[in-house]
Amino acid sequence: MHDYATPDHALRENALPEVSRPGHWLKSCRYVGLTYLMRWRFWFFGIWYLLVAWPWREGSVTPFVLVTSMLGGILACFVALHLRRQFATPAAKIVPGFAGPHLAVGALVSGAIWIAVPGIGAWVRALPAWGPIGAHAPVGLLLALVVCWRPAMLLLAVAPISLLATATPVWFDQKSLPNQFIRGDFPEWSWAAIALAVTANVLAARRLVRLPEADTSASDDFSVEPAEEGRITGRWDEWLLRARDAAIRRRLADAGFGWWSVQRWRVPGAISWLHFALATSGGALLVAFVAWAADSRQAATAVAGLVSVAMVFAPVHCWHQRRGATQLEFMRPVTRGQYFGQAALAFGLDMLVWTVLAMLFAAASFSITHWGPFDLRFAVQLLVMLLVVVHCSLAFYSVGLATYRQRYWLSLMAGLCFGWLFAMLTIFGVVAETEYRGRFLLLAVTPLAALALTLAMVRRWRTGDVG
Amino acid sequence: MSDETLLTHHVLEMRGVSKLYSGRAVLDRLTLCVPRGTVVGLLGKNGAGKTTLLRAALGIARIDHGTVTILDEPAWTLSASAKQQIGYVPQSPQLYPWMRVDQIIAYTASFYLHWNRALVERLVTQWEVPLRRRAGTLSVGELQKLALVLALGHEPALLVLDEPVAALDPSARREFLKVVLEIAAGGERTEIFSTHITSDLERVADRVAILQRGAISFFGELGELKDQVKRLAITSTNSLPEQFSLPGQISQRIEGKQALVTTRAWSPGMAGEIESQWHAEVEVQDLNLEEIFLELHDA
Amino acid sequence: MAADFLFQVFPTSGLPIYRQLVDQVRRHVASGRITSGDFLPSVRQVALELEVNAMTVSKAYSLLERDGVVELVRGHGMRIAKRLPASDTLEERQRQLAPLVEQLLAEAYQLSLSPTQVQNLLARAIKERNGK
Repeated sequence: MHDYATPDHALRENALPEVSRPGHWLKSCRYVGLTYLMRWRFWFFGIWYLLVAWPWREGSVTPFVLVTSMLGGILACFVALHLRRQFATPAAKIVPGFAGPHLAVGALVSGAIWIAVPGIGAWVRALPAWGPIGAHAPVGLLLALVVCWRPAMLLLAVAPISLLATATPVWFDQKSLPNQFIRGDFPEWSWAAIALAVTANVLAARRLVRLPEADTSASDDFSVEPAEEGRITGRWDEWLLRARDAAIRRRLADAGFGWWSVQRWRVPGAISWLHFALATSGGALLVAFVAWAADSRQAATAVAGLVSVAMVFAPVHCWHQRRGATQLEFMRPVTRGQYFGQAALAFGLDMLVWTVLAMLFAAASFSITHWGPFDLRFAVQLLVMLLVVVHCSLAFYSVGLATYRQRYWLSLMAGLCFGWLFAMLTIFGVVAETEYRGRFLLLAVTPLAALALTLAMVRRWRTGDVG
Repeated sequence: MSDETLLTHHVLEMRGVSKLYSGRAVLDRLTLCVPRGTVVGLLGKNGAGKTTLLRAALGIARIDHGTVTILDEPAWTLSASAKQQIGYVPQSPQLYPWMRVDQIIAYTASFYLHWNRALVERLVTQWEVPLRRRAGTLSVGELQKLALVLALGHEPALLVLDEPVAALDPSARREFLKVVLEIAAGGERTEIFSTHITSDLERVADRVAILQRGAISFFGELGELKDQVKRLAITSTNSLPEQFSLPGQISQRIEGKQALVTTRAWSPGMAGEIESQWHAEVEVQDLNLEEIFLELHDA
Repeated sequence: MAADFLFQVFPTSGLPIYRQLVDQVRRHVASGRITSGDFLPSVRQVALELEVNAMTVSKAYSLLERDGVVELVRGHGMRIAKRLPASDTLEERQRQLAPLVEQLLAEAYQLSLSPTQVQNLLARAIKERNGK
């Protein structure tokens, strides 16, 4: 599948001039800088990052730092992937003076993210610099980690979790430990964190220079399963894959029975009970941890909601991995209409399964955390939670269809945005403190929007190129 | 059905096909009719649109003008039964990285009414396709071989391959070409494969289609092409005039009494004509496909 | 007879494969390596062993059949025909040989052989051939 939208193909690094003299060095750096500026993802998240880092209010710094480090983390991942992509090409090994400008600009961007922005924030608020910078050191660390090992991107999920885990008391308490750390009351720890991040970055730079060539078309995306050439050794999640093998085999054995015309499209994404069990127990552990750490019902509920939404996203993730095979699937004996209709239905079935599971999980964790006498408020809140899950599910389904051919991270972001939007609508629609009864109509927005989007997408697929 | 009718029956007909990508015509009123039972090599520069042509032929890509008929059906609305007869190997096949090879094969087999398991097993052993490994851990060459096995398993009447050997080493390429020939033997199957490597084509194809500037600039038997495109070294007793030209001329270089002319309309009598008309001696140079291709493109 | 003992094709040469095959059959017949009554290997065999397209081989064989060099024997394949009288006139046949003669004379000139020496060479070669 071609990505005609990649702009820095035009600025392929082989266009670098000879880098022996300082003037040329600067020129090269300019070229490299352009490769960053020409990608809208850096603009988009960069501006968002700056906007969030700016409004400083009195009181606890912690929530802001958590949000900025989340955004900084996303940016850091993109930068790391960008660097990997630049260094995993033949040009990186052959072109003289390639490494210098690329590493320099990379270091500059990296430093801007986790040193400069927090540093300026510290100066604005008259805090010692090491405080906020030390708090953002994990972002620098994440960048280095992702450069060396792509699946480290999963650590991005830590931020929203910790955001909620450290909810309520710690958020607003000026005396709490994290707050003190951010204010710079523990300089040794701050400097240790900074040193760690810097070391990690230096090591990552060394790794970059020695990066083996790999297929870079997929590696620039958030998807965690690139096909890297020559990886013959077993994968780290081999045992999970074995479970999938068994599930696939079971499903294949059903060939020809029942609703096979739709079921056959669900074969590659077949999940076993092990995956469900892992998801559920992992989620339960997380909720328990947050409930204990934050000692707050709201936090636990929020995390339970988050886990449910993550569960609902799982089939989108699965189906997104398959889009490379669309052409081949299409050339199997199915007509155009049959293929898209059946595939959309198969996707919908997968969503349904996970949505039901997510709803059960949400209901269970909600009941457990809100153990007490049954009352109407409890029922309403439970209903809201379940509705949120359903609406996120619908949003993810339709957005998943719409962004099927886009980059994975776009699916993720778009899905999360719309899911969150519709979740808010739902919550507002049900629990808003107003007399206006018509607010329940808001509940219909998501299903209708999802339906419209789905139909539009299926129609677009039917009339456009495949794959 | 006599041989005549079989030969003139086209398995693929593209007439006046145009496809535009952001205003640029990648295919420009292209016409190509592939007879049944032939092995057609589609030759073109990188980026000439070979992949687009094949995708349009199969109904994967949508065309903006013209008609495409494949196996007697319009390509855009191919029926399931027609697709049972088609095997396709795209340029960089992507499969399910987490699935094992043998499972992918079994999965693909479940779609087809006819699946030759013995053939698949033979190919898998012959090409050393690792059955127990996951598709995500295969090298590019192994992926290509796997995609080819999947396309051959149901023994399609039409096999379409997009740059099938680009990623294979020379011995794997030879093996693949052998299989291409085997499948085509007897004229029952039609094969269309695109490449920019002329030497593979020369061995295996009986017809060649040259894609140039969005259209087919030549389609015919390879032998014919080599018979008709020749380079002539002409030495005249007098200086040759500037308007010197030969029928079907592609390129020429004149230096005083000598000229080097490439023509695409060579016939055995031409030498005698030139000799008598221009009082010159003619030396005929045979051009192989690569040289012909370069000459056609530099014109 | 095995096909790759008889034929050697160069797919990447400027000469089409079918023409190479035709020329090689003619040369073998002329040199006596295969004589009338011998069977050529089947189209399928040649295609398989030389790894070329069967239609190319089949085209070569049809051309040879058309020119009367081989004939089709049902159930057995292509057999070298007996030497039929040539259909071209004497002048035509001589003109076909003319380029080779010129080439021979050019080489002889390079090697500083006199006309008499060339004629002796020719006479000896003819005697050898007739003796076979």
